[in-house]
Amino acid sequence: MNQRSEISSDFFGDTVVTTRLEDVINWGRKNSLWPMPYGTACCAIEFMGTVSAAFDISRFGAELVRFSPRQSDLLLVMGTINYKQAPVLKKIYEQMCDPKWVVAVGACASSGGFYDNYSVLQGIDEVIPVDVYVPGCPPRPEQVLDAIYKLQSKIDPAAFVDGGPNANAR
Amino acid sequence: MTPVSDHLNKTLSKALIKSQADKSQQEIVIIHPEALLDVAKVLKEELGFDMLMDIAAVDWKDRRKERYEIVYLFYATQSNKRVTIKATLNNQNPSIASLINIYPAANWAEREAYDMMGYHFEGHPKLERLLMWDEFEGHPLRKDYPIDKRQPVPVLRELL
Ligand code: SF4
Repeated sequence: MNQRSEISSDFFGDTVVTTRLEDVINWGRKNSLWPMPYGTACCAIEFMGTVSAAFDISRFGAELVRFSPRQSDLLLVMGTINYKQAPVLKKIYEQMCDPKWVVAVGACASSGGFYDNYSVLQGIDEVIPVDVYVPGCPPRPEQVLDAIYKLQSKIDPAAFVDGGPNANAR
Repeated sequence: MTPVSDHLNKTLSKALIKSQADKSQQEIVIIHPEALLDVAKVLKEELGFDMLMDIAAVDWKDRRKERYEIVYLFYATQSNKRVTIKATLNNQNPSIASLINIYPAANWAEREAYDMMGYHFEGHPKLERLLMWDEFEGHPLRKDYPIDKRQPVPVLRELL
């Protein structure tokens, strides 16, 4: 389960694993992210590749794509968000239950991309908090997977993937 | 071959400024803006142009003395003919009559031209923004609108 688990082998044999509650909860959270795709433009096409067989996001536990914010805890914003869209995105975010995380996939969601004009929001962090930014126009599916990785180590600092800040201390 | 301007010359000669044909022999007629309604009536009732395809607004900025131009594209579904009507509008107050009573299709096209370019259409029943949100200030497709100007993020309007 995680490096901190101890086995009290004397009495229970290997039938019981002890750990801390927060570790179990985070372990569950990070390995069963339920993404809600908020796809407004070309980046969303890349998400189709990410979830299907070749890249297979389910290897990281995030394959259960929900199309309702009330059933999901990971908001994947993929595509250009214009100003009129911004309050809608904010409302969708507010409808998600805590704990929730946001990934800005692609240049448009992260910064407005090349749409430096009157109509496009210059990054979704103007209206909602963002946990991971993914560069690229569009990003490759590996980059979207990498964002899941990064988010997992953010949810559980002791995550095995590329360490967390506290991975060695524990 | 300039059948439209020939006909207009006979019936509404004062409306006409100039006519020409583009590369595909499609007629372009430049008219006085005050004569728009008369011209549109003739187009629809006498020449069979029963469909308004689109309205375009052009901002020539420094390239012309009168910077605002409006372009109407008409189509005749029976004869498969097209004609372009152009008019130049006033610099201070770009304004022209609304075509809505002759071609209802002008409704949203005129609202868009108002929204993006600030053209005024006399007689339009609901000349409000079509694409930008209501609090938006200015007309973003005018050439002097700063390209990187940002305006406050709108708030959500309840639909019901
Ligand atoms: S970042 Fe590029 S690929 Fe992604 S939505 Fe914007 S324009 Fe499309």
